[in-house]
Amino acid sequence: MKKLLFGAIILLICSVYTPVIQGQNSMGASDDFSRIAIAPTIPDAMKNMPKGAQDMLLGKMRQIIGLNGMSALDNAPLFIMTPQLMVLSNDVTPTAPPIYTYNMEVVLNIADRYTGNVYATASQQVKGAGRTEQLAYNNAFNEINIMSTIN
Amino acid sequence: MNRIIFILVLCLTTLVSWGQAKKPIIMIVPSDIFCVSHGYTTTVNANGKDEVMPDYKKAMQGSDELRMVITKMGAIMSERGFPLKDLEQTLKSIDTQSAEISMMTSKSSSAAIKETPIDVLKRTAKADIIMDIDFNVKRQGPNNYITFVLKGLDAYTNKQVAAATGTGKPSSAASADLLLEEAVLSHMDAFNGQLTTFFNDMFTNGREVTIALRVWDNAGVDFEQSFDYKGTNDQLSFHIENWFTENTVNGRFSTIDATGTMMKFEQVRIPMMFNLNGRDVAMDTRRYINNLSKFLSGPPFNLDNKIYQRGLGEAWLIIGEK
Repeated sequence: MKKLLFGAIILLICSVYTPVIQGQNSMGASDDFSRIAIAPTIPDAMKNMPKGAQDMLLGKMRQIIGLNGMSALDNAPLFIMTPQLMVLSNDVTPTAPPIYTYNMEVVLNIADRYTGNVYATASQQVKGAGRTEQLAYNNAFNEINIMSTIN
Repeated sequence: MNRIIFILVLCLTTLVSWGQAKKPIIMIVPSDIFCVSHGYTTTVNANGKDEVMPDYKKAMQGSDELRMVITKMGAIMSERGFPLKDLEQTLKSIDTQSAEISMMTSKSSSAAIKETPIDVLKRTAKADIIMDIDFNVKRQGPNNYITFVLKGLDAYTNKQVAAATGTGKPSSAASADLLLEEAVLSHMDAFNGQLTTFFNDMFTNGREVTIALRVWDNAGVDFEQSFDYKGTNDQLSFHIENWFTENTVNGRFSTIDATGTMMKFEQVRIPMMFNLNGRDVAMDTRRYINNLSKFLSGPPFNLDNKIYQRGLGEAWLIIGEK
């Protein structure tokens, strides 16, 4: 009787979990997880920004994507996260040494690499100052809160 | 005899008082025209516009004559009781400080030093009096001669408080360094005399400072809002002006600008000293504006505010929150 009851329980558990497991598609190219993987990219328009600053922004985007478990290699097939900088003001103080300041809005877009369709955006206003252009950018990008929710 | 004793006592009193008051920081800085004409510049892009700016580090590293003039003037000023802050050393110190800040971490949690963009912006060479110098070695036939312009500028009021310009004696034998030294030496006493007059005026009539008031964009109040204070209903800006009238030396100040969102006061004469627990303590702009901050924090205004100091002679009060 006990064996029969134990067998019935095992059967019940298996019948409940099997459809759940089968719901997750892990079949090669149609794998759900890799289909929504997002690759951070820096657009060509921003390539004139100091290299160190580009790397810093790329790193921040990678952290954001990684936190949500959607990281992909930079040459991932479909979805990309691409930044857009709207510089509200940038000044250089006439001091010794001169200090570069940036006040800008960083917009992060989730887009289709091929069609350019944008599916989601998030933005944050950041301010940065530094003795060089790169340090000022880095100081500003450092303010990007990777934990913040979309606004 | 009595007159001599009186003068001696007066001199002694002035010296003692000067010893207590906060002395302005003086720094020699090569003028823009000197840096541009000698190629000590850097081009920067600000708001989409290329700007040529003086590169002081390059000037200090590249011009022997400039170093010689600064050293010589520094020695003379020290002898006269005005020790100078050295620009070259200050720039080095700023570089070292930046490196130290970025390397510093706490022992237990490896926390870094918190630094806002404003803190970075503040890490520059600062002086209350800037001695702006420009000189040229010129030739006339076989002779060399020197022309130079020296201006003493108050960094906060932007006023020229002392000046010396001159042309040195032409000579075919003396080197440029020697001519420069001679030209500077012959005019330094007159320059120092003007500087002393400026400091004495400051001591008699109060330090002249600049004060600006602004509002945060979420403040919900501006300087045109009316308040009832001691039975007078008026706009906030007029209550603030009344406060300045009552709290400046001989009520001396000028309202340069007043809009709904900002007010700027120049030539504000603040006392050199104030009393703290029975002791005379030197007053600076931050201490002074703290009194205005308390005034606005209290009833009927109840306005939270932030004090922002730009140096010994300029401070801002930003209304709305800390």
